[in-house]
Amino acid sequence: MSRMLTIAQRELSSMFRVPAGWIIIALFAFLTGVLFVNQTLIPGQPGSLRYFFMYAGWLLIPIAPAVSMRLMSEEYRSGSFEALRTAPAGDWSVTLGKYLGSVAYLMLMLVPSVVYPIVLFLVSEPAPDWGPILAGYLMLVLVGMLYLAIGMLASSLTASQTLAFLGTVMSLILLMVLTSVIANQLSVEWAQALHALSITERVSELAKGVIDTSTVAFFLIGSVWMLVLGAGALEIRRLGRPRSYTALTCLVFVLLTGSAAGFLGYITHLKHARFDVTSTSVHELSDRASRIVERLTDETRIVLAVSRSNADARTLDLIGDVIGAYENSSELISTQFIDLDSGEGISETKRLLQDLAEREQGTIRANLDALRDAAESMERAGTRLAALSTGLGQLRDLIPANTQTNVNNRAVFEQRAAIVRLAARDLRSQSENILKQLEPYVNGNASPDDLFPFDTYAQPVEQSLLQQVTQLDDLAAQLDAFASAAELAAEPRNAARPLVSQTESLRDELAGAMDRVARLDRIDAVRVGRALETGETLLIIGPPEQGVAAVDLESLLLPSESLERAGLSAVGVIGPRTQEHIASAMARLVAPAQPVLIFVHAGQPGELLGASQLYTQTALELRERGIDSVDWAAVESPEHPRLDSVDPLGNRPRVYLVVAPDSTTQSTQSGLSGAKRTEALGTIVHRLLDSGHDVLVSLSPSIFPSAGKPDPIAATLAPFGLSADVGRPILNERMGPVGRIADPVTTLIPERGAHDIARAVSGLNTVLTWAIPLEIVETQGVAAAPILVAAGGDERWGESAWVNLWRRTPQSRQVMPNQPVYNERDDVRTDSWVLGAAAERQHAGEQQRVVVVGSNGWSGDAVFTGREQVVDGRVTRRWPGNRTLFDASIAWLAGLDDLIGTGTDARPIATIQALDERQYSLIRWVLLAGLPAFVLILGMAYRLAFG
Amino acid sequence: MILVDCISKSFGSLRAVREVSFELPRGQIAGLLGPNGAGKSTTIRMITGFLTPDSGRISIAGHDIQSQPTRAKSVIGYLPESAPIYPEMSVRGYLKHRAKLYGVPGRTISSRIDHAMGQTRITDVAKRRVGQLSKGYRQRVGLAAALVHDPKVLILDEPTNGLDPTQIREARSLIRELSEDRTTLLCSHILPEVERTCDRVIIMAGGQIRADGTPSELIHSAQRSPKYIIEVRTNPSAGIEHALRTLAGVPGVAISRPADNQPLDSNKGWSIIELEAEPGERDLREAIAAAAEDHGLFIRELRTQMPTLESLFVQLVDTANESGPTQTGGVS
Repeated sequence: MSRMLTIAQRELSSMFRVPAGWIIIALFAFLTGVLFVNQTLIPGQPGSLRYFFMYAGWLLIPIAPAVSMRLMSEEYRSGSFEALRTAPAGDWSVTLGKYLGSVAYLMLMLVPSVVYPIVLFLVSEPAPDWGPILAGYLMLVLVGMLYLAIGMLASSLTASQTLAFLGTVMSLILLMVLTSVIANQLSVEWAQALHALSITERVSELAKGVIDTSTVAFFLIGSVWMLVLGAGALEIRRLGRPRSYTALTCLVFVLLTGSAAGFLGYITHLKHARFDVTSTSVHELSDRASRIVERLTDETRIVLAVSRSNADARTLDLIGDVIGAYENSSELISTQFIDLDSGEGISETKRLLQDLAEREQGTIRANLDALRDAAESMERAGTRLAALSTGLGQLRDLIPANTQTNVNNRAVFEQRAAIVRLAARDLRSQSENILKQLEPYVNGNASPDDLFPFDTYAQPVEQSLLQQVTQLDDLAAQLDAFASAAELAAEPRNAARPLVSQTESLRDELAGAMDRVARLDRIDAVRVGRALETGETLLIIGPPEQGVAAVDLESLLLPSESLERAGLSAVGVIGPRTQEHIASAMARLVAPAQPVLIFVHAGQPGELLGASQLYTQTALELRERGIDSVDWAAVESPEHPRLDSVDPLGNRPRVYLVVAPDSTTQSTQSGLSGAKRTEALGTIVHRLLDSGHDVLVSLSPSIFPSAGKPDPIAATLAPFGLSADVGRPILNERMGPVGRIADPVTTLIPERGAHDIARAVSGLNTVLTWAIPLEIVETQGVAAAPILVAAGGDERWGESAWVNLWRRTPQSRQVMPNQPVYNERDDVRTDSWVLGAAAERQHAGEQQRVVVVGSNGWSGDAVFTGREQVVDGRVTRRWPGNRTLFDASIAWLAGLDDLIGTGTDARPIATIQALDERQYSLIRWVLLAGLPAFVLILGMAYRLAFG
Repeated sequence: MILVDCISKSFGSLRAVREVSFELPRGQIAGLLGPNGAGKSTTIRMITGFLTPDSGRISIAGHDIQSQPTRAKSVIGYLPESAPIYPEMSVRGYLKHRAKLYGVPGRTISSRIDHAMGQTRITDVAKRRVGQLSKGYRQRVGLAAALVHDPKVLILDEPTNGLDPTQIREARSLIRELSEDRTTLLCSHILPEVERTCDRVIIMAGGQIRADGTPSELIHSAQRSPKYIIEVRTNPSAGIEHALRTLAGVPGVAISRPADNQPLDSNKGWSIIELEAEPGERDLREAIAAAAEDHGLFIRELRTQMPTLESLFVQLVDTANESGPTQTGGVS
């Protein structure tokens, strides 16, 4: 041990006794300085040394071999090896001692670079995260250790320093090429095995602040193995046996130690732990994302397809980080990165599609068959339609042109005959076209990566069939009416009768074909292929039964304008956003069944969801995520809407959204008064709650209490231990343009509450207009909890004289004289107002849930699509709390508790501040010239002092 | 102190050392002699643990060099050929490094270094870089490094190689001085050096020991008859042939031949002739002088040349080269 240290000490001190030792340090300081200034010191970029460390890792490829090349070669060449070898120190002491000396030198070489974190701390705001910086240094030391060990081995094998240097650099480059370029062209198993040896990936992982025990073990095991081989090379030299014998011994030795190293590496890979050393844990999944990942049942892929040349490399890295975090979080998740620009990317795309098509082979086959059946029955129908057309022509001829009615009928059937003839031609040509297109696929002549574009055929076919079916329906009714018209002549009527059944059977056949086409299974490979064709995408591909979900990449790469205004780096927010987006997309895959939302309101049909209405945009967005919305104008048409089209099997959870009407409107010629509508809707809500449905109720201020009556909608909540003071909406005292105003807009940032929904909303800006205070009453068998709580105080009160204000437009409210003033002590609360609550109870053996939000101006397009802004260092919607409250409430009501987000956890990210020209050039001079020069001067001083 | 038991070493097809055995008792100074390529260095490198023998056993002060390398090596002070020393180190720094490497206890290191430097007379260059020193000094630094841990065994490989005559003389006396209380193995291809310094001489050639003994023993055991060198003037017309014939006729003379070096004035009839006596003959000088006189040869010089180590060496090496392994001189 002491001998080893003696050797190490001599090795280290000897590095400092030759000029080259100091020059290498100065050179390293200069080059890292260039890296720091060019890669890190960029105003607006995150204040991290990630890229500095990554490039510094590359820099070690030539530097480390330059240090290691002389370790043994110099001894061999000068002959001093004899003096060393005959000293009482074993080969292992010699090898390890020399190696440790060079490692110590490498560490000293890193010392000048501590200036960079210091500069970073000075120029970035807030202070940078020190965790990844330490991980970066750990990375440089580990990588340096491995490179030096490889260099040590090379140096042990030759007396030529040049050869040792070149050998080391070449083998390092070979390793890089093997684990990147070559690995990508091999089969998956080999690629994985080679990737396990990848230094580059481990370097970037450490540089971004993730310490994996298997990575640390990889470098240590690799280094030890190289050293064992180095010591072995010394022993072989001592033995001086014949070449053939030596070669054989070496081979056996390398294989034995190599498999031992491989085995150890495998063990450490199996039992490894990852530590995210960033203070914000950006490389770990949020609780919510982890919960969703845990629910994966089968292999799920995350595919990121971008064109690398167009994309910002650092942005891609941040997205890649998140994808990597997902990959590491579960064995089931695999990830794939496709560069759309490269030839490799094209072949990867092909491979992916083939892969998907293979696992969906059965479905594809069934789809092809179904489509062919449909096309064939269309062809048959075409022939029969032609016959029908002839029949219709004959029928026309049978009708005498004597009366006006008969003349009309003749014209009708003539026209019908023509239409049917056209339809027959249409159907035949269409089916011919489809069969022609289908042929190679059905016969298996199509190439495996060429998939039948079901989506481009299915829809037009379905459309045209629907048209035919409707027309035939119409025709059948007409013929039937004709046949049963007693006032008409018997002969044509008798001739019309068989035509009726003929038409009906034709309609049935076409309806059957339409049904088959409509029920074609969704083919993931086709969807993925389409998505990849159209450009950059981030796809989550689940097992066939779960399908594919896409993440909107553009929403990840935000316009930087709003961020700049907030003084944030654009790249700072990408990580958290990517994570949330992927989590949501994955949640869609794993959700047992997405809910159907039924918007219950007292207005006209389509009032909420129709074109450019209150919830149109929201419904579209929900549709994208698999949540269907149905409009139910419950007062106008009390019959429950049919859900066949969105939920044919009837197994999707249903969530009713009740939007309370404006009770103040007068009755008009078009319908009922607001009060009547409220009463009618109250009855319906009562019925819904009574039959155990899950309901989200948005309350509105009500005139009922002022008339001494309970509000019909608020009253329905009583069984859930909730009471709403709908007669006294909350007003907020503010300063307006002309003085004090009472503002019905309540904004709040909810605190973290106990309820899942409350937790999701916490910390997010939320706005409620005309908020209604709720009261939670202890009730047997009901668990009720607040989900939205606003602080009390003098500026906020419940106002009973609100109607005047209510009737005005928001603009005119601000200048209205005689603003309401609170006058009763009861109006003000010092503690807090509950503005939203959730309750659940057992109903007929099943769980029933209700969410009440004391406002009806809290959800919908107006709030959700509001401009984006920055909250807590993260770009969000203007009122992110509202959207989150909406999503979380729906998930909770649908029983999908796991999909409820856990709220914001993003923090402001350290960012390099703008530097003025003088500061910048000062830093540049100090780092690029001052630091290396200082090292050289130190070297000269050392030489003067120690001879 | 050094026990070498039947060691062999081959490098590929070259059998560098073949079944070499010898034992050096405590305090002996032995010289290992042999021409270049005789296997001396290989033998020494095996003894010092630099190479592993293919077969055989080496033990230093009772420690086997292979099974107890650290103990065995600690006992040895070794000066490798050409004394390679890290050029960037200072003399004192290098000696300190070696002392620590040999496990000299920390508190005695300084005094040991001073002592070794005193012995080898390099105290005046203690702070100089090794790379700046002259060859002689560097050799002495190497020697000091071999001595710094006060070894019981001193092994010197060509210690005077590359030194000038004065330095060689100094080195010899230094070695003599240092070897007083140590077992010393001196390897050289310079005969006088060994002859004058060593108690015992081991001659190697062709990878084997050809002779082993004290210098005088070896000379005696060689049992070679003396040689006579005679410088005579003959009648130029008769030439050297006449003289050769005449002298060959002397009873007891076995061979007569012209010497390798002829005098400068050979054109005046002077020539030098070597005579070899039959084995066991008495002193033939009188008979030779008489015969010369009788035949009109004018003698300028007549002297006896007794057998030397060099002649033995040359003879051994020649036989080795000609006839391969043979045991000569009844020794070893």
